[in-house]
Amino acid sequence: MRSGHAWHDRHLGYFFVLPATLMLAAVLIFPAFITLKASITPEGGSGWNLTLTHYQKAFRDPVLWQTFKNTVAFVAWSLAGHFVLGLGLALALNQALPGQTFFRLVALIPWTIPDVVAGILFRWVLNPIHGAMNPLIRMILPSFPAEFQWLSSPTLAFPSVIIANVWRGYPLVMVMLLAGLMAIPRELYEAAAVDGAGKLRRFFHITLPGLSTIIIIALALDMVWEFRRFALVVAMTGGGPGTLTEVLSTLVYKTYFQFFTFEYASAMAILMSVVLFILSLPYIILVGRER
Amino acid sequence: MARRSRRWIVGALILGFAVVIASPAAAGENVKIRFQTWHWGEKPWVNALDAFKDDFNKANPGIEVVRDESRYADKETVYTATSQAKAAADIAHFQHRPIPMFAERGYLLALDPFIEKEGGQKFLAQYDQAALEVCKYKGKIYCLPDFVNPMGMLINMNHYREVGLDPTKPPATWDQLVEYSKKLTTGSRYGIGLIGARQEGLFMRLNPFIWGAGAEFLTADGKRSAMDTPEFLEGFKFYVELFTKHKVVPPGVIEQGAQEVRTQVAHEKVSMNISVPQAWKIVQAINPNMKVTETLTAVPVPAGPKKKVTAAEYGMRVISASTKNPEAAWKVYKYWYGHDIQLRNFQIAAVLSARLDVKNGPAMQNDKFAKVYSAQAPFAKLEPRIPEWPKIGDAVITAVQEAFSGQKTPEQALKDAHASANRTLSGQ
Amino acid sequence: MKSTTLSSEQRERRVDAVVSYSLLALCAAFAIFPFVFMLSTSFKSEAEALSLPVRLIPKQFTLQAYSEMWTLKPFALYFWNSMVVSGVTAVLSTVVGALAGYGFSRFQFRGRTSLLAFFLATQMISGVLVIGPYFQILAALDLYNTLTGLIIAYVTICLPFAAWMSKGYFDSIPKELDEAGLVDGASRLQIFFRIICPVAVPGTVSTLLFAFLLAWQDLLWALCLVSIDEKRTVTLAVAFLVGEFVIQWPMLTAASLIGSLPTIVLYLFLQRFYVEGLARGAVKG
Repeated sequence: MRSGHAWHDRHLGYFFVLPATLMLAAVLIFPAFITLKASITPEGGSGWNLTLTHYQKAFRDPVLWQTFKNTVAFVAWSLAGHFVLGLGLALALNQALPGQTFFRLVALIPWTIPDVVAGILFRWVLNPIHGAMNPLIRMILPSFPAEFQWLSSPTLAFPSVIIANVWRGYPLVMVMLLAGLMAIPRELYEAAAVDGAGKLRRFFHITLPGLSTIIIIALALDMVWEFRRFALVVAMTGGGPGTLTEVLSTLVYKTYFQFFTFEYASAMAILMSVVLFILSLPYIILVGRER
Repeated sequence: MARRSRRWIVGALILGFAVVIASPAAAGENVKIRFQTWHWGEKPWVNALDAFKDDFNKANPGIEVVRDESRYADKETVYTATSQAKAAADIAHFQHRPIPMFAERGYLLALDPFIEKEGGQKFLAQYDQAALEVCKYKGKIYCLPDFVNPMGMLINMNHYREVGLDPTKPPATWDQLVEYSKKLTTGSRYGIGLIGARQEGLFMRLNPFIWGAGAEFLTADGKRSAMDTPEFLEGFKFYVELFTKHKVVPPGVIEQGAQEVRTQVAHEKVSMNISVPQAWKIVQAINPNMKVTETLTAVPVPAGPKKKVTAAEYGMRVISASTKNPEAAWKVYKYWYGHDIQLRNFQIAAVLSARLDVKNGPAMQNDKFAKVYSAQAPFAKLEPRIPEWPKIGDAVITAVQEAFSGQKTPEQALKDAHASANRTLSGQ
Repeated sequence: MKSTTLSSEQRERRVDAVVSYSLLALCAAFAIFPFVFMLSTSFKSEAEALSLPVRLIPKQFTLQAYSEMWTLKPFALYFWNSMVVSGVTAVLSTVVGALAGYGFSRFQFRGRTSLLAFFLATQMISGVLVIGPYFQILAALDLYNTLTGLIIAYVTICLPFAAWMSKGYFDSIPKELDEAGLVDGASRLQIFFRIICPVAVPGTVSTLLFAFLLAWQDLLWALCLVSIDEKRTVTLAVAFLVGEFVIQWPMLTAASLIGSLPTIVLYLFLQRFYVEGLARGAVKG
């Protein structure tokens, strides 16, 4: 009975994941193959004349390295912002407070603005001459300079982009964590409270372990998501000043559609995917190990 | 609840698919030619385009010009993606820069057979010959020049008079430009608007200063960068120091693109602006309350120490290689490039047509703004037209931004751009 | 003794409430601030939106943008397109993704971790490069300029995330529920639909929202796969308000604000099911 059940289990598992797998494979195998092939084809060439020069070029390219560092910083800071805000809000919203629905809605709305609109908007708001940010600050601090530069400043441009990105992206993490929190049975908390456990102890011993899978998944998904973040950065700064806010996705876009070097762009994209895959391996293993 | 919700889901899916699949496919006997440009969404261009579409469709039953809208910011992107899938618009609109790259990748239809039928050289002689050169690639012609945009300068005559300057005597040298800008920079206004944003428009403003100093981007053989010459540094520094040293440019220059600078002109935040011929019409549209024809006037870009030169760009339409109706497309194409349409485009959108009989005609010659811009055409120069230019240009913009923001000194920024350009040119 | 326990609990709850409300108020301010600006701009005329000095309250309050949205530009059509595409994408990816997530969660089949990795890896190749070849497939199937083509594109982007998210939520539902159903003689599929799904409602809702928003907000795919006005989505239409010469600020902000309403309505509608799902989960066999 045991072994029969196990055999049945395995095959049934395939059945459940089959539709999704088929859909993905059907549509993405061909483009992935084309990209891989392009990355080892000489510039403008075709056929099976393969070469690894693009990868060699990529390793020697200082702009690529700089952009890579920017991207890691961008992703790390965005993730941190998303999680601090997302977790805090999820915890606050998980309680039966009056006005809960209103606050849940308000916390959600930055998510409803598309990337590109958010980028254009923030760029406009932070404009020294036409933007609303400087006059707003001056209402509170009249001594603040009237035409203060945000996105043109080498020190403030990157943080501004991060804040815009955190604003736009925290609701996803918040919604995921909130759903995870709701799945933790109330009885566990009540039992712990009766046993005399304090707030902090309850948080660390009940909330975090209960959320652990969701947190790992949210981290992995958000990381992949932020690596691809593109429209926001392009609309806000175009990568500037200089190369300070250039990230890998914008560089690949530029290399492909502006410089017209399709093959080199493909090599860059493959490298980017490999790096991202390596970074997400720990998460994949952890999630795969669950249950 | 579960069963109900499941039925709900299935029902929604079926409904969704039914709606989607039932979307009526356009039926009709007409050959449809997709006329693609980003100007369909821009005032005042849309009036000229609608008039063209209606006129052609009425005069040519059986062929229908269809409005196809692209987005200015990513027109090349969409064209590349659709061309790769052989589903590009029949007629598309670009500036002159991507033409060689598109032709190289086979996206464009060579027009030679059609031109031969129309009379070959005689047909081509109707158009501005300098602009026509830009349409040729590897011995074939891929487009006809639509309009010519030499850069000039718009100045605010009221501002000039207020600070004691004479608007009929605009700055003719760089020294005068700095001097006048400083005078015009009062508490709330700035002397001149410049572009620092990462866009092609930056070169339209920067290049007159580079070339005016006698410098070039590349060596004569086009194989190495020539950005390390003292002349190049002189022109580069002049542009940058207008903002960093003389402070005659509004803050946030790195965020300023052509749009922002024109808005600054429209709201009298700057007194001068290097611009394309149509700019005055756009400024009028931005601020209907400003009497543009009475307030602004066009003047030439100040001459540099070594040369009187200005930048230019050309607009052109192309026929895609993936078009399914080349004959019909050519009919539409030829109609667009005809005298009446070109003249009307000028009257509505203030573009300088590349058609010689319109260019030399009374309408353009008597227009206050067109006259001045048109007179700049002989001094106009284009950026190097090599495949590596987009990457080199990108490095130059990086250098400009780094110098503007103070991250690097102009010398250091330029040195890095020079090194990057050489790397690109040597195939690295 | 009883009175002291109650008051300490009350005190704790009050501290909780104060902390929560302060945090919520701060975040609300942070979240709303750009919206205030958008709202203000949407009630201005185009000329005033660009004028100086910048004013929060419009000098000349006008509803022009809101009315021109529907009359000058066919935003009703755009909304219809967006809703159909986003709705179908959301439902399809959530259902198929949930099936996959259930499979990952409950079954230990060979290649499970590799398949999980494959799912995530499909999203790691930059969209930029996938568009061209993807487009070739769609054009060959004559799905260019159709809503169906868009739906297929978005579903393939959403699926891996939906599967991963679903797996996470299902993992937090005890296996005992499944086993109880098995003992009762139900098939796995029946267990999935009738027992597990209702309990996983908060997770399903967040997956639905995520997929809906992803499809609604995408620009790059819509830009390349649709070139005619009739099939344009709201996000694409808003992006088109950024032209070469001007950005039509009032209409852009008005359209974006109205464009965020469907998601809000959807969320309000869906979150009713939270309570039901929670109640069900509390009653365990």
